[in-house]
Amino acid sequence: MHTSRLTAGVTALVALALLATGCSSGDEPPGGTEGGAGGAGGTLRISNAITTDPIIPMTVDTATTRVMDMVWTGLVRYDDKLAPYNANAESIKTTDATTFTITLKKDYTFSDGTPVDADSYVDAWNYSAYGPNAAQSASYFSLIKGYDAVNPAAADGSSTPPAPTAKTLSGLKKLGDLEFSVTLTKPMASFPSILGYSIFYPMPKAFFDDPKTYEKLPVGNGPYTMKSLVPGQEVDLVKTPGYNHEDAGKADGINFISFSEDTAAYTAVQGDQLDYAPVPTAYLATFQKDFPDTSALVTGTSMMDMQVPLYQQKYADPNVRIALSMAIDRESIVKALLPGAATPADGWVSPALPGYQKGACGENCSYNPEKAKELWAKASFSGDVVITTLAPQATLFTSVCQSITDTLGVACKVSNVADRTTYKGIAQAFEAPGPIRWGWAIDYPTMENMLVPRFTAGGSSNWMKYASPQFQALIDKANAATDPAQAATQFNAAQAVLGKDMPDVPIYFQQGAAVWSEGTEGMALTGFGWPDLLKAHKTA
Amino acid sequence: MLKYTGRRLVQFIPVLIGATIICWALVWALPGDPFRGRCGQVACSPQYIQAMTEKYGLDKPLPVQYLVFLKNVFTGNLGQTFSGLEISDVIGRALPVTVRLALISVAIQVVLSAVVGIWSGLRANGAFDVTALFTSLILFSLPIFVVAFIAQYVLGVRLELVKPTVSTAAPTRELILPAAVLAIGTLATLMRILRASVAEGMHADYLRTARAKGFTESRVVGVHLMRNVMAPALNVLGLEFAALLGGTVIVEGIFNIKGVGGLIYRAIQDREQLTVSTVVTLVIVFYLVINLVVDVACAQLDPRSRND
Repeated sequence: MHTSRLTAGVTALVALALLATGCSSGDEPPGGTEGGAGGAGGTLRISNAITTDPIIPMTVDTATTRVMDMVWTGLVRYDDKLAPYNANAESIKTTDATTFTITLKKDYTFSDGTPVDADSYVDAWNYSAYGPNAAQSASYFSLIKGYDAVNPAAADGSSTPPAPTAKTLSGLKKLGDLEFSVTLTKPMASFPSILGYSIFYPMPKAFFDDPKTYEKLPVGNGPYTMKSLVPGQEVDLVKTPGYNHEDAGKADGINFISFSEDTAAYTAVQGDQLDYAPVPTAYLATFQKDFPDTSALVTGTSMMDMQVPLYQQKYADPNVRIALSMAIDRESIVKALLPGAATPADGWVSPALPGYQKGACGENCSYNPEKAKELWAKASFSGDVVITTLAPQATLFTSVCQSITDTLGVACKVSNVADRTTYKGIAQAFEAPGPIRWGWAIDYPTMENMLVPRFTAGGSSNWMKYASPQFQALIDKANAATDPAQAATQFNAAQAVLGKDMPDVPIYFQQGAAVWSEGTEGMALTGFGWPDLLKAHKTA
Repeated sequence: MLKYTGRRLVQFIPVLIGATIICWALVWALPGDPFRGRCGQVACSPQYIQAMTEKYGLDKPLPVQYLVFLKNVFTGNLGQTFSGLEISDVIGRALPVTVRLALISVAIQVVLSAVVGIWSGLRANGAFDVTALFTSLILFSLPIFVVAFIAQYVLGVRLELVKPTVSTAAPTRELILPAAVLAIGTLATLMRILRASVAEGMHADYLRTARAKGFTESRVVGVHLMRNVMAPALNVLGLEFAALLGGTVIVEGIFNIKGVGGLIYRAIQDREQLTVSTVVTLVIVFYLVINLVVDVACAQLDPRSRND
């Protein structure tokens, strides 16, 4: 019996050890979600799906940007109507829409005490653009002169890009302690409006000295300062002491809490465990009843569309693409699937943006079964239409498919991809068998941002292989126009070209819908589909 | 017994290697480049893709990558996620939450199934037994996410008895509701097993012998009967505990628990081969160890099942 008693002891020990690992998890992450503590402004608890990527300007991710907008103050900020106003910038001047001279306000400091000067911007931008630093945001800097030298692309047919020949962008010049100039590769009059995007935020010395340490609790120059950060789970902010600029926040603190499911966040607001959550699709029909006084619905700046693979022979004929577009009954589909949460798209620029023109696409973006049949009869199309989509939009594109089949009589199938990486891989390898779901949310509120990345040749989100000299010429004209109204006219003319070529079929513009807790005041959604948190605070 | 345990421990090695190879190959075989899609809605610069591919060694041949992974596991330096976080930190955050959730859930299962299962077995076909059977069948047939949503809404939102979701620090009191939801699935099975063994044991010869020896009824049931009915229940419980340690994606999502299930799920989506393999290896080790513990414990309970 000796051995058996020993094993019994070992068994008990193992069981105890297992129990102990469970119970000894004393080092719980800091910053619980108990809100309301502190001064009069309270702590806002906001649902925001941050990823585990570092919360620094080099990271390109919408949720991360929302946090950075509070922790940093960029050269410009956007008001409720999405119009930019100077924040950290004293002035942004240009005469030719190509070279911009930027002067900074004097009294900005990072929350570690170091001043914000021209170097904070120039060094940060150079760091992001330099290839070997592997910044996600790098390609955005391609509009600045000298990008090709710091981040060269691979030659055609090769997969390994050559080493950079320069470490800094030749288009960036420090002119003084608080002054620098930016020279673009091509005129772009709307350049000042894009500078409120987080990738253009300044960085303190501490980052360049030791990025790894800095990333553990990044430091910015904004109205709020990070108090604690659990990557991918929660980031807690407190008001920056001594921040006395016009964009100072009202709440004492903001806790961004990541929810993997929107439904869980919505329930948490109902249970008064959270102060703000977006409305999940399942609750679109009922959220205004659940939250009669504390919810909002605004015209947002994102859209759903499908990019058509022009590189596939069967979609090369524009008549095929126009017929497909005209065969989709957007009105009914949106009404049935996203009641109140979307409007049928009549072009590629959101109605929330300054310069939007109704029906910019022309008649080709509206449902017209007769005309669609007529065009389809003229075109030669063999086989089925296969629409590639991502799981959350499976129902939507099944309806789109049904509408196409009902109108044109062609068989239409939905190829539903479960995960984002596979889906992106299909588009980016130019292997889409037919139209592929694409969504677009603005990075910064300009018409340019809704058209250039997707539709110019070599655009960073052009997976159709669309290239139109006519479209490009209108975009160039629009970018060079310093008068915003004139620029808008050109951008809308460019949309008309898209309407004729139909490389991408617009489906709907997304509305932003959100709910918040009763003790929260000053919450209002902007065109970003996101509240201006600087104005919100707690009352209870 | 020691020899038996030692033999089982040695068997772990091929099982682990086989399982990690399969897991490694499956993630590798998923389509899509892990880095191309990491720049939001625009394309990543080719320099970014190249720098990341080199940094994470994905340019090396597959067997070499696998060996690097094995080396990492054995040296304890698990490497980094694509976000630059130490994998050990990521696991260190998720695992304690999952372990606590699993322990609470198992505790609920043990207490409820023991009370209900044994009582029903002792009074087989009585009113209590029939009610328990119906209730457990109803609970068992409800999909877990339905139970989770209803429990969350009724107890968390309507009655405000508990917090509807689990906060980042995941205090134990907030884990009780999700743990109870998780318990429901296995609870019915455990109850039925216990009930059946107890009901059968009540008519067994050894029980009659014990009674004939003049033992008190509490000793007859508490020692002689229990020793015989515990083994099957322990097997089920062990497997269930191990499964819970592997994470529960659906329930974690509904209650916003930052546990192992969500970690594996996101890692697979992001093609984080190293993270997936490391966590899965850990889960397999749990399975093996718990199984071994259960087998050893069963051998203690029932000398007939000793294999040495």
